[in-house]
Amino acid sequence: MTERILVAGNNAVARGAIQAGCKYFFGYPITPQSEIPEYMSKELPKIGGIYVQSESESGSIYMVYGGGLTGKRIMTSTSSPGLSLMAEGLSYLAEQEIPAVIVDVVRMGPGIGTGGQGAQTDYLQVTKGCGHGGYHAIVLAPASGQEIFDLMQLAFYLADKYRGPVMVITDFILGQTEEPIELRTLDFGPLPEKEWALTGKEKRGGKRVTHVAAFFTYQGILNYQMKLIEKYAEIKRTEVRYEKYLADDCDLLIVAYGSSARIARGAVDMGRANGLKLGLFRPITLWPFPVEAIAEGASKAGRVLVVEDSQGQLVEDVEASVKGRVPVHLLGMWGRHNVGGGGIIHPERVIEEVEKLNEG
Amino acid sequence: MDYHELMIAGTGGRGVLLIGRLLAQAGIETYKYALFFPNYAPAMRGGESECTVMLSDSAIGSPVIFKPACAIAMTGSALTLMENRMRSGGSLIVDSSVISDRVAREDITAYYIPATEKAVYLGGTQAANMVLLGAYVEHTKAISLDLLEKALDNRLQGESKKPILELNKKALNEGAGLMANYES
Repeated sequence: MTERILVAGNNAVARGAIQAGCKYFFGYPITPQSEIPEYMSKELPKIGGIYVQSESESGSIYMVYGGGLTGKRIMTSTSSPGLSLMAEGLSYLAEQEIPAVIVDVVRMGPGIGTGGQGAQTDYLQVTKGCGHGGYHAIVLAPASGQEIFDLMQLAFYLADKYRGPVMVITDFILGQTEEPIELRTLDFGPLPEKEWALTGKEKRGGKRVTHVAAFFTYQGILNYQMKLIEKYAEIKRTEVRYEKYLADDCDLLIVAYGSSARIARGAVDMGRANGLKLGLFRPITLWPFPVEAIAEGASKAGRVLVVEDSQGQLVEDVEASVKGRVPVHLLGMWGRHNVGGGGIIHPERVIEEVEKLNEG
Repeated sequence: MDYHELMIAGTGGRGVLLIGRLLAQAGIETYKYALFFPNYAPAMRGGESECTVMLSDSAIGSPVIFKPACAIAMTGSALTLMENRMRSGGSLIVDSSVISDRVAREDITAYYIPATEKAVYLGGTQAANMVLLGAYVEHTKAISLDLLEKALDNRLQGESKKPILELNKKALNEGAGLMANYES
C-alpha cells in the first residue's frame, strides 16, 4: 500500500515537486510559504539536488530561468509580493518557452498585505499574466493536501509538455491545513525529447552551447507570435480542468476555487441537509478557464453565487463566461467573521448569503 | 458515517495546536480523512490561538467551521469565544482550574475539568492540554487512547524525552478518568 502521511499543504507542495523529479529549487523566504524552501533546503541535498536561497525574488526567477534552460525540472515558490518581483522573469520564461513551476501561496494584498492571513487576492495577477507582453501560464488551483501533491506532479508535466511556466496557486488556509496524503507517483504519459536544452559543450557530451532568443527562432516575429497564439489555443482546447459537486441538480450554482471551494463544499452539504438545492463548480485550472462548462452549469441552475476571499476577481471571469444569461452574485472578503487577523469566510456565512438571495 | 469535529481555543504556548495536531495524527490510523487547521494568524506565545480538527470516513468539505459541535476552552476569553459560537446541542470542555466562569447557555453541555490542577499534581502545568484531550477522547470515543499514546511515542523519542512522554501519557489517562467519572 502507498504510504499515507499527515502533512501541511506547504509540505505537500515540496513533496509533490520531489516526487515529480524536481531537484533544483531557487527561492527566497516569505510568509506564508517559508515551509516550502525550508523542506527543500533539507531534502534536496540528500538526493543530489541543489537548493539556493537567492538575494531576492527577482534573483530567484532568473535562477529558475537559467536552470530551466538545461532541461532539468526546476521550481520556485513565493507569496504575493514576491510574485510581483518575479513578474518580469515570468514573462521572459514564457517568451523563451522554458519549462518551470512557480508556486504562489497567496497572502492578502495589495502591497505588503498580511503574511499570517489567508486571502485569494492574486487571482487577476496569476490568470492574466503578471508580467508584460500578453503571455499565459497554466494556473492550477488545488483544494486539498492530496490534490496539491498530485497537481505539483501535473504542473511539471504540463511545463515540459507545453514548454513554459506553470503556476500552482494556494493560500494560507491550504498551506497550513494538515491532511493525510498518499505518496503516489502519477504517470501522465510520454513527453518529447528536450532537443532545445543546453546540456554542455559538445566535447563534454552536450549538444548545444547557445540558446537563441525566441523572437529570432521562428523565421520572423509574427511567426513567433502565431506559434504562441496556437500553443495557448491548444492549451485552452485540451487542458481545462474542473470538478462539479452536486452541480447537475441544483437551483443555485456556487463557483469557487482553492480554499473557498472547500468552504463552499461544506456549505453545499449543510444546505442540502436543510433542503437547499446547492451545487458547486470548482475550476481546477484558473487558466485555461472552464468558460463553457460554467456557462452550461449556470444556465442549468438559473443563478450563480461566486464565493472568493477577495475584493471580487474570479467573479469577472464567471460573468464573462455566463454572459448575462443568469444573475451572478458575489460573496467576497466582506463575508469574513472577523475584521482583524484570522478572518475567514465560514460555510455558515455562505448559507446565510444563500438564504438572503432566496428571500430576494 | 462516523464524523467528529473539534475546536480548541486558548493561549499560544500552552499546547493548543499541539493537541489538535496530535489528535489528527492519531486519527489517520482510524479514519480515511483527517484535517488539522491552525488559525493562529496574529497570535504566537501569549496571544490567542485556536485550531480545528476533523475526523471522518467520508471526504471533508470545509476545513473551517464557525459553529463547532465540540470545543475545548483553555482560557476565559476562549470560553467566551466558544460559548458564543458553538452549535446548539454541542459539548464544551473547560479547564476549570484557570477559568472561574460558568457556561450560561443551556443548549450546550459544559464539562468542567480541573486540567491545570491535575497536571501540576502529575508533574507539570504544561500537561494541562493532555488532560483536556484525554477528557475529549473519553467523551466522544473519537479514537482510542492507545493511538494517542502511540502518536506521543512517535513525537517524543529518545531518553531525554522520556520524563515528558510519561507525564503526557499520565495526563491523557487522568483526563479520560475524570470524564469517565464526571458528575455535573
